[in-house]
Amino acid sequence: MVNFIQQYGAAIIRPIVLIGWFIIYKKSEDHQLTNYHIRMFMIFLLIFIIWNLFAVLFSENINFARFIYLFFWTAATIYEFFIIAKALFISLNLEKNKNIILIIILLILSVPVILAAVLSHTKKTYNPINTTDFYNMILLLFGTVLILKKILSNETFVENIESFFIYTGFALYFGLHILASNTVSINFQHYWFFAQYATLISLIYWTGSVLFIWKIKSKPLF
Amino acid sequence: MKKNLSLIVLVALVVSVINVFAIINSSNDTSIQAYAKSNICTAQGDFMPAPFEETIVEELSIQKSDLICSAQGDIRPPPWDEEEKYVPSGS
Repeated sequence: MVNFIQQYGAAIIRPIVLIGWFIIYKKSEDHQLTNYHIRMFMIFLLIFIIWNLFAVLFSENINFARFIYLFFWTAATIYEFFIIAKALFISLNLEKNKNIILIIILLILSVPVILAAVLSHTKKTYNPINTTDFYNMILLLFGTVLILKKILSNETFVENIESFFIYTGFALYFGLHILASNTVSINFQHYWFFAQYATLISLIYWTGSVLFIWKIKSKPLF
Repeated sequence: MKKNLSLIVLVALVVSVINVFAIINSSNDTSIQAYAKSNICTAQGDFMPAPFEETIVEELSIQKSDLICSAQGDIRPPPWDEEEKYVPSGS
């Protein structure tokens, strides 16, 4: 049972989270910004689900499976940068006519990600992607905290409760992955399983937040 | 607004430069410890990719992990086998 959870837990719970959030998306009132954040989050989940499908399909061909891993890891990381940078631009009211700067920022951030994937593939070592994942998570966590600060200080907080749960989940996800990918402070051998549990904890949080949102939106708390 | 934007671009640029240097250094690291670590993927993903070469890091055996406390607490108690090694000076 433990082995099954370790191997397939995150892959099984991810579609459940997607279905839960899709129901919220369908039932949410016509609040454009909230709907946009939910859509971005659902695409994030979808990338991982497609990644997992390819990983399972090509698990027999080890070389190709490694290539698929590196390709989807790059795509998912760049998409995470896109979600956080775009949300940061929206929360700081920078989105108007600043799309070129957003693209420039994404290009700057994509350089080390693509370089790490290429070096991992050519030098046959996971060190480059492990290293860059650690730095990326710090940057993503920093961006998420700024977004949360803006969401919490907003007067329409209850209307945007979905965004609050999405980004607190991201803060949890990025924060736990900093610990998982940091080989300096946590020097124990089963690194991958720590990263997998970090993902599982975040996915459980996002699943639970569906129930919270449903409860909060269905009737007044007081 | 312009200040915020400049700050975001600056942070992205600085972290990316640090990142590139760290990646190149880590990919060129030839120490045994780095080699051992490089076989294990710690980056995000649901399924662990196969190691590039056989790992030289000793896996924790089932027997050994039974002795390590993983329940909550800030300071982990010593494993049982370590206690067995302790012999009081009076005996």
